[in-house]
Amino acid sequence: MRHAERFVDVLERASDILAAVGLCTMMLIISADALGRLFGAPLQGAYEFTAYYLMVIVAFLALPRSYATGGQVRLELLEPWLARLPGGLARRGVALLSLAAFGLLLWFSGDEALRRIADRETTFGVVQWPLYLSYVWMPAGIAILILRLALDVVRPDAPRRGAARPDAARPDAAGVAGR
Amino acid sequence: MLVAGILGLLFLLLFLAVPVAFAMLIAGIVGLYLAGGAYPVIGVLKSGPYEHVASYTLSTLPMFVLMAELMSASNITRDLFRAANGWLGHLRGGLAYAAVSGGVLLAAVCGSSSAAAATLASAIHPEMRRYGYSASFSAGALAAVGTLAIMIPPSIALVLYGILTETSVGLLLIAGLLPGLLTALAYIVTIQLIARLRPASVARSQPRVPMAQRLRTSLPALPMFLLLGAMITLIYSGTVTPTEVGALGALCAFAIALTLGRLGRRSLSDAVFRATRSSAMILCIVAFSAVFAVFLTLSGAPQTILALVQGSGLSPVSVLLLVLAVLLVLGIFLDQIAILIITMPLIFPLMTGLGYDPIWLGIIVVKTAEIGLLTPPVGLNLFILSATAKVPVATVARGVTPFVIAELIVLALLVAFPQIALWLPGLSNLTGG
Amino acid sequence: TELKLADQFPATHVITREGTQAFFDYIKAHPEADLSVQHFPGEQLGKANSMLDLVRNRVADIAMVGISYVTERMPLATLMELPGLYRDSFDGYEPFLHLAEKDLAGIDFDRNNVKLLWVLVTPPYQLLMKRSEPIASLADIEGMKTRVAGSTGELAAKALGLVPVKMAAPDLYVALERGTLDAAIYTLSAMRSYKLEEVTNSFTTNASLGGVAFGAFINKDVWNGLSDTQRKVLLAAGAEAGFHTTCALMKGDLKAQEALKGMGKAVYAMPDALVAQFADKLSVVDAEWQKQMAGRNLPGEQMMTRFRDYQKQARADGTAAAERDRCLGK
Ligand code: NA
Ligand code: NA
Repeated sequence: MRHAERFVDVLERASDILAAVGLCTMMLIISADALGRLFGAPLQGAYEFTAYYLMVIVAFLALPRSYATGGQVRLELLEPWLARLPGGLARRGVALLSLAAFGLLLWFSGDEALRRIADRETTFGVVQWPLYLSYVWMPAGIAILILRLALDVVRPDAPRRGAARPDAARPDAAGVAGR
Repeated sequence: MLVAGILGLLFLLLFLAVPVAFAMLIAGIVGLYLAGGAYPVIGVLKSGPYEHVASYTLSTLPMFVLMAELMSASNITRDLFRAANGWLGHLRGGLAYAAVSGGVLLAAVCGSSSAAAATLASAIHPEMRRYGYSASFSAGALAAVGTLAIMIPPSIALVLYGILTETSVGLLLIAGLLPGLLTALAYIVTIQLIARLRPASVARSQPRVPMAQRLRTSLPALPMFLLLGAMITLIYSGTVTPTEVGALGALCAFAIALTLGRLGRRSLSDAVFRATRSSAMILCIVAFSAVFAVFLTLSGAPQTILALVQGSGLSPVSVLLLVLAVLLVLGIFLDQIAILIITMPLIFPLMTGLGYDPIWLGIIVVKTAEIGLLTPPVGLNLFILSATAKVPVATVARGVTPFVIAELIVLALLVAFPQIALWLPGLSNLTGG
Repeated sequence: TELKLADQFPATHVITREGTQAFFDYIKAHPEADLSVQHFPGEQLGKANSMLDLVRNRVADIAMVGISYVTERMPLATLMELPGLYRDSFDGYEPFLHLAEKDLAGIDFDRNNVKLLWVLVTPPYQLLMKRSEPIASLADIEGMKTRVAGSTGELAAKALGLVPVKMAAPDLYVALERGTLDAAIYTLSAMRSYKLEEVTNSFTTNASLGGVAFGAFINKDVWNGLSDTQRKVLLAAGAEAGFHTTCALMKGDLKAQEALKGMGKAVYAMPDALVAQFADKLSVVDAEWQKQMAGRNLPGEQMMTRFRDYQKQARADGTAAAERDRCLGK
């Protein structure tokens, strides 16, 4: 069990790092394109690379860790009551339901990605984009998320690493005014 | 009936504390299956969530989020607020006015209300908390201020309306300016009322700061003005497009922070990871809401209701009110882009057929859809504030309520006095049509 | 039988009002087929680039697929985007219809499990520019920042010495207004639906910088489940839609030219010498297209020859001219 959790944690971190790299690359590429255009030399392919790869990577590879660290927003209104249900019933139920939905999503989107890879789908134009590589990130991210959801079903109360930081600011007006 | 059931399921899931993006996916899958069988479920899952995210236009969102995280990591916003506090701290709610002004400036460079809300949440919320504003007031006010981005040009929603209805994008953007400023004014009045009626949620006023000290604290705020000034120049000189300006803003924030020596390796990587996760959260809501939106379209419910309105033989004013009611209800559980796409093919011919002005209609429709961003249980701006500022959604919703009331009053004014929206476009010499 | 038709065009778009409407009208006029078609316009069921997915996966039964959006899956059909391929809408429509039905169906369409109902072809793309004076030489357009669409637009712009810029449609208006762009390659009628005439000043009428073709497809399994009468009515309705859409777009271009002239803008045909220079420069695009098709083991060269043959035939036997006359009410 511990090993499984370590394993999922490593996967989550790795895909999170990839997503962060994607985000910074996006900043550099879009800027280079816009500034290059000013001098008559826009960065060719910035448009497609951002849309087909970077956006998908940022959205779906950061999803697993964003879920694991409580970054996926939810209504916490009834949380105190739900927490009182025995055996982590609420957490387990939510994880199980999500598992079912994401299982379907992984099944069908993964199938689609495999078909596109088999066909080596590539766009036509100045840059011939290997479009099939655009479709792998969502199933990849969902697969890691599914592992985490499965762990949540088995052990809903497992301690979280790198959980959300608390509200960093202190309601301490006097202290500020004194500075 | 089916729609009512699925909405019930969605609300149930939300109240069971299922993450919002997940709840949209689950309810969407069940709805699609019941509305159309296995084919739509499989078809939409194969590529629906993917295609809604694989969009260049949407890249503006993560870029603004990154810019905001870099700004707060390097304390550029902290300095701005220290300066603002020097000038406005003796007024009750002074910093909240500063936040509204900041929101107007941000709206002048940012075309997406989600991006603006995320920017404000990560850059300004911690500062307002630091100066003693309650979490509920601060998050609520910022969620509302974020929506200014949709009215004050540039605006993705108004451009989308223009494309969907073949109305002049230029005139729409000009038309949004006064209603946007009016909304900002309404927020200021709201803050004033809250400061009177609920003084506890607003920071106490502080002693007047001597002029010399005001000027001294203002100096460190310069980088922030430099950044905003650079972005406004880039966008209005045509150097970059509204979609790209977020990336340039992030790059500028990064450069400023490096120049000032404010960004250590640790705080840089923290900022980048926070930006990545916030972006993923918002993008996943966008991706999985798409599943739900297709269900809603296939169910035919919005179409049926609007067809009923159309065939009712009511007066134009009653039809307008009914249409606005439908939009407000849709706003409870859909984001504004989805609302525009689902309803415009029906609403636009209906309303222009009754003699309503297409430009004015665009402002009214976008305004109404914007209010939907602030209404629980599904309000994207509420979620963004909640996730980015780490405040429970219910707390944000409580804080935003007075602002929603202000929004409704502004909407009523826009309906009653079309000139507010149409005066500026009327002055412009664009030859539309 | 109830069918769902999805497309990307807004309900007010000329393609919907005058083209797709003809499809619905024909079906309504033939109740014996017992067909009803529910329309989902304006990307309601999915984005423009997912229309092929929608019909393949039966989210919709029929969808209008822009070839430029699916170059990875219908590569040969991108032939229609090549510059200088056809002179006006019907000069392209007739041969493309033949090519699609006889040649592309077996290669590009069948493997996607879709059956062609109708095609539409836009008028040839033109140069829309911020500058007010007509262009007289290639030097006049050298280095112009030009928004390109489609897969060959970038190739064509480069060949002409333009700086090709990819940009999201929502940014187009503001980019032209503020000088982020100097020009765009587009059709005049489509430009009018974005109101770009408010921010541009001069327009060519004979540049022929490519075009865009759409195919309306029905899912093959759905098709196989229909009766003979239903199939006949669908095909006939499709023929109506194809003709009327192509016609509406052509008329839209002509109307746009008149309207632009009325606004005092420069709408002009480039001199023959310049047109020849354009053609000369643009020939590399054809070569590149053939090279990329050959690289995928696809009969690009053969398709090009076929297209030209069909085109010659339609020009010679007067089919294209007859359709043009029918469209313009002559
Ligand atoms: Na804005
Ligand atoms: Na809402």
